[in-house]
Amino acid sequence: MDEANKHAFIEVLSEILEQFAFVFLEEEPGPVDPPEDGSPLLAEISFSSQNRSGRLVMAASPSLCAEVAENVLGEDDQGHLPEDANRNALQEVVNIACGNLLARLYGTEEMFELSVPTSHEISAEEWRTVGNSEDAISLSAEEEPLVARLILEQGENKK
Amino acid sequence: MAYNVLIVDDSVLIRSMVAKTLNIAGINVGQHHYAGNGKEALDKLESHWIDIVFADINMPIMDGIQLVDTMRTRDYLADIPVIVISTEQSEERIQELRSKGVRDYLKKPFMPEQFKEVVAKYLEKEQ
Repeated sequence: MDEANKHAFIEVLSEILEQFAFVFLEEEPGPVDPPEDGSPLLAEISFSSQNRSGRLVMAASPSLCAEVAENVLGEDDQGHLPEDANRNALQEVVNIACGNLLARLYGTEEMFELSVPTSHEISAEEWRTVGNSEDAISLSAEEEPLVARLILEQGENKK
Repeated sequence: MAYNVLIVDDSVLIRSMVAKTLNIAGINVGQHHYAGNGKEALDKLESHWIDIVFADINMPIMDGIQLVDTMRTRDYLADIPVIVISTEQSEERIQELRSKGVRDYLKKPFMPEQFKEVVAKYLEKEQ
């Protein structure tokens, strides 16, 4: 990912997290350690158009996912949150980020098909693998770690 | 007048968020109905009086476009306003949705004010 795309990715993600979940993002200078409060979650969505295809992947701590869910719903007690709220929260962030990032990078004339986002728990080792990838962006939000990747599998990364 | 709404999204979080936003926006909701995909939505539409549908596009089993297509083939469902709430933004997709009879489109994330503005247009028409 070149610097322009990386900048756009961080900008879009910041805007979405602020508007959707009142969570503020910071870029970290290097890979961030896996969270210590339980198994991290990884959410993924794939996209394709006539010109390109790829995936957007995000991994976050369970605390951050819970905070996003609580803020979206205005709940301050996890007991009131729907079942699977943490996974839902990360999946929705990935979903919204993907649609908005593709429009930012490639404009609205190109029609993309997006998959249904999926998520699963990952190990600390898998977290490090994601975070150490060449195209990974290391971030933190509310002092919780977050890793994001835009993986272009086919096509140019320019409009 | 209270309106019965159907919220269709595979994310339970988004279904709850839309319901809360309706409340914050001051929309007078009678009954909330929920569905996790287009097929479940059709079941709800067949068994309840619904005044307006809020639907996502990307859902498993039956997506939002298939839901709208099916609603348009059934006379008794064809006139129910459908508002799509999605992250997809291509002009072609939005045009496709409008050509299928989708009344409006809200891009995620949205603010309660935007939501109210769109919803009020269609519910006022129903009065």
